[in-house]
Amino acid sequence: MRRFARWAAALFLFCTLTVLAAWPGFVDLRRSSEWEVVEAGGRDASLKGVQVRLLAAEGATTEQLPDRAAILVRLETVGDQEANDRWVDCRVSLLGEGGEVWLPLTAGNSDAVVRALSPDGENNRPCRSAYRDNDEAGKPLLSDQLFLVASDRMHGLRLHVSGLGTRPMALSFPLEPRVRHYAE
Amino acid sequence: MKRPAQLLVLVVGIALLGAMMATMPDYNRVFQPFRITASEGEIAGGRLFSARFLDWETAGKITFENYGRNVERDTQGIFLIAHFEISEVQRSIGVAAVWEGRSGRHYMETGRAEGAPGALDDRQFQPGLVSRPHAVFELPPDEIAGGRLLLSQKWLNVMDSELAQETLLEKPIRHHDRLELVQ
Repeated sequence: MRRFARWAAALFLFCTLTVLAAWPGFVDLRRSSEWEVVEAGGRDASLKGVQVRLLAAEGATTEQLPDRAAILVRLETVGDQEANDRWVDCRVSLLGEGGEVWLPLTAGNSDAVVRALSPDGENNRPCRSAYRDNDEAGKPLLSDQLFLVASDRMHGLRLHVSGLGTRPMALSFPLEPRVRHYAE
Repeated sequence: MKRPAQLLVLVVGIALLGAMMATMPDYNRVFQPFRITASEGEIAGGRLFSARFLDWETAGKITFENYGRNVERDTQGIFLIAHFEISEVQRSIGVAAVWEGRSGRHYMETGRAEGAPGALDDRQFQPGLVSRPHAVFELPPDEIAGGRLLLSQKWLNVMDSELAQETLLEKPIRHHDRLELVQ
């Protein structure tokens, strides 16, 4: 009996140490993953104190490159300082029906395309780099993200939005961009 | 009898631990990517994208246009321009290219062709789109034949795929004294 108790204690110690050693990695994995998706029916939804509104989804295709479409997504987020802090490292992505993930373009030369597609000709920068401090608390914060999506995969897209403090929870909006075609 | 046995277990344990410590692989070796090798002209399929080696050419000088300015670069070695195709992208990614020379040395892309049309640079590859970029390397001439192109996702590539593309041995390499890089 004493022998069994010793083995059980050793096993318990081993398991506890394993969990403790792996815990930082597990926390990192949780903060980088979107495991719990909160479906938003329309264009408004809130998560962990921040109200997120999908203001615009404008797309464009061109005669020269008909296989791809540029899609501008404009979001408005409102939250108090504590909620805003949870939305640091804000992540916006598009998910296709086949599980593909499109991330916003990061190239500096996309500014002209953002301005051409945005409703007011402005570029409010992506959500990730949007500036947040005490002065911004409670005020609507606009962000613009530009995606390059294959033209034949535009149906059934979903927009996922999350912050470092909300993950693994993320908001998911249905996205049907209005697409304009530009001929030569 | 019990004491020598316990001592033996202790000595063997210490020896085993010492052997494990001495042969413990370093961080880079433990978390190195999984290599997927494709032979000439075949597609290598990774977790996030697939790639196929298309063509290669060498040059003593390269020229390209960058923001309306003509740029010309020469080298004490030789420029190798490797053309390949990126397809079946699962997630928007940047791709890094490395040339593994015949000696086994790894050569990063030259920074001197930065901004050239069609170069990898900070380019993102998108799901559903097939792209044909090129990578420019600056190498000693004897590192080209028998080398291979390694492609992986940019930045951190821990325990993910690395696509190794065998070069086209049957296809003679084209050499240019001066080559203009275009899209």
